[in-house]
Amino acid sequence: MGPELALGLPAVGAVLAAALRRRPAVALAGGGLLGLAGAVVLALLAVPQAQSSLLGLNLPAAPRALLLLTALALAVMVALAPPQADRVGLLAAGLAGMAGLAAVAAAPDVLAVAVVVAVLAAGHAALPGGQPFPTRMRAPGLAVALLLAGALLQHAGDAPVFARLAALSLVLSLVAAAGLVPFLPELDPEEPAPASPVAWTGFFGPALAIALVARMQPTIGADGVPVYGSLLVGLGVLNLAWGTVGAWRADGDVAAWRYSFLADWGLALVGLGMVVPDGYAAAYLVLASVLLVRFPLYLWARPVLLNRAPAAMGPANVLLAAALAGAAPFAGFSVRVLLLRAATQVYWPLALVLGLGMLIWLAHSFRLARTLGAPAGRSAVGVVLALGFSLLLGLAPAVLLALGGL
Amino acid sequence: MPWEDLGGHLLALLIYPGGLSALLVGLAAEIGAAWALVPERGGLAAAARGTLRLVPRTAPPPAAWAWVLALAAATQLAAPFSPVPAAERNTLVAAAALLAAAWLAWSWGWGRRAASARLVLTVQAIWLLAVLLPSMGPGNLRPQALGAVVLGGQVPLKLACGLLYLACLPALLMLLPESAPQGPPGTVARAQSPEESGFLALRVLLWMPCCGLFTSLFFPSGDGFLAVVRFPLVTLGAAAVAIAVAANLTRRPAGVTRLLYERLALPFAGFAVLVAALTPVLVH
Repeated sequence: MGPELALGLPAVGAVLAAALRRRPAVALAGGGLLGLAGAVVLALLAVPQAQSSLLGLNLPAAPRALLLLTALALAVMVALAPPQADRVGLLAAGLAGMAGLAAVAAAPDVLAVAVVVAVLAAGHAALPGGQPFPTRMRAPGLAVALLLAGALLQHAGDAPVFARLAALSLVLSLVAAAGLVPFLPELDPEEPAPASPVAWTGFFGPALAIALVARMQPTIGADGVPVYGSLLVGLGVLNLAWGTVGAWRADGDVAAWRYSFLADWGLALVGLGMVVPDGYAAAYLVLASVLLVRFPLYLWARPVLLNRAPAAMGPANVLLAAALAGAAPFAGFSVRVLLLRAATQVYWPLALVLGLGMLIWLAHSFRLARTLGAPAGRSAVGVVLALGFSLLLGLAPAVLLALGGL
Repeated sequence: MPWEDLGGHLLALLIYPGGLSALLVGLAAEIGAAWALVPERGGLAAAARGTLRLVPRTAPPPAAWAWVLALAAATQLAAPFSPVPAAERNTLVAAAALLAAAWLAWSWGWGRRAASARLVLTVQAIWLLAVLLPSMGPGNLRPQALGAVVLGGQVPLKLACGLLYLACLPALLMLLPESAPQGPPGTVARAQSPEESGFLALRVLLWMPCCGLFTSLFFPSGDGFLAVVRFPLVTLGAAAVAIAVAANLTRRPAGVTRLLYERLALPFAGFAVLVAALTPVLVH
């Protein structure tokens, strides 16, 4: 019953936290304990005996490890959230998201994946926020439609054109599901963090993307692989360029943060599209760093972004800028090394394009680091932890890759 | 119908899974709901006192008929050791009885408090889809047969319908101001009329059939140890989900409930119909 518990415990935790919202201490304790139990079961699934499932569910290693990181990121963010943050709301939304992501990873077929993605997106879009529900459902709704279209095309016939169209549809569904260019949702800077599209791209997106890729890639077939790879690389470069230039030139700091996520996702898409082990490893690492480093840092930058605290540029901010820029020995450095190595294996001019993107990247890192102000109290602990995670991913990427079965 | 079958049906109606067991489960859930929905009135003990104070002293006819219908729906559940033979239970009977019980409450409650018949009708339509769509593939209306189909092609459809069912529960159980002409749990200190008291009691009796039907349709049933443990756990879990959703909705600004059902659940019901149509094509 391992996969069922990994899925069910966070779901029950989310329900409990939501039901006991008016009693925050009980809600946090109950939801937190159930979330922790779910994470322990996820970790135990590495043991083959724990993988037996009543419903025939299976959680592959790669999405499972990223789900564990999602749980870790959620624990850190809830425990060390800025004082004004709604911690119960954050926990309930995070646990519901974890349950949904586990369901996507364990879903037995594309139709089930589409149902879960639709539910997850609708749940996220229904959170109180600045944008109307239909606007927030546009990108994930399109993702579900494209996913179903891709699955239908795969069943349409044996002609290569169907395989290519299916690959096109599935890649576009992945990009739409993550909320990337050209399906970028509208951003309201004042929106609460759990309801923001940044939360979708930064917290739900990484595990969702890896789960979708694990589901889609084996079904694409030889005729569809060139379309799958080239489209992912193309959209990756587009997001990298859009993200780096956007984060540098954006008017507001919230927008700059949002674009910085796109830049990271650009690297991830390129890595996935190269369809070589180094590329996949780079994508995996960059998505892990989005979860453990960039998204928590965005949360701790919220007081400055909402003008509740002043921006600052102290020594800690310089260190943060280095981490966000992908300097050695932080996570971004190993990502870049792996990605450039993969690019030289596949098509060397791609390495030049990526190198240019990485160079422009430097411009916005200092801007983002300033928005963390002078962290104190819980935020300071959080910033130190995020830097620690970045350092760990940069110095020992093999540990995470081994956890993900790569 | 042979006398022993009649006895079995009567036992099911009055004791288990209807009657006494529905009353006990319903009281526990009602107290929990009153505690979660109106926490400012005190702890669990205060919620229990408030709920027990509303026990009706008479049985006004429309409410009494609604009680009988709710208990009749409970007899159709795939509860372990149910005295009703498995072949004689029917999802359609349960659904019709629950809808009829709800509309008996509305025959009294039309226009009272913040109740919105339009919203309730929308929710009931969605709920009916959630109940009936999973029976299309197997071509069977027996709850235990539908619950047994947990593997293979039916998973996406059952997932979609199960979620729709859960989303509808707060409105079906009259936990929301818009769906409860007698007032949500914990909000009424003293019944104004025997009918109000009767329909407050109806909600207590609705918990078991509404939540138990969810368990019956979406989880395997049986008389083995696992099934015996699973039935009450899932039924109470569904009740907890309903309370959680209701607690969140009542905290939101007015109109959010209507938006949830009309803008979210209704399109999702359309999506569930699409999933039902695609299931034979995409899943083998």
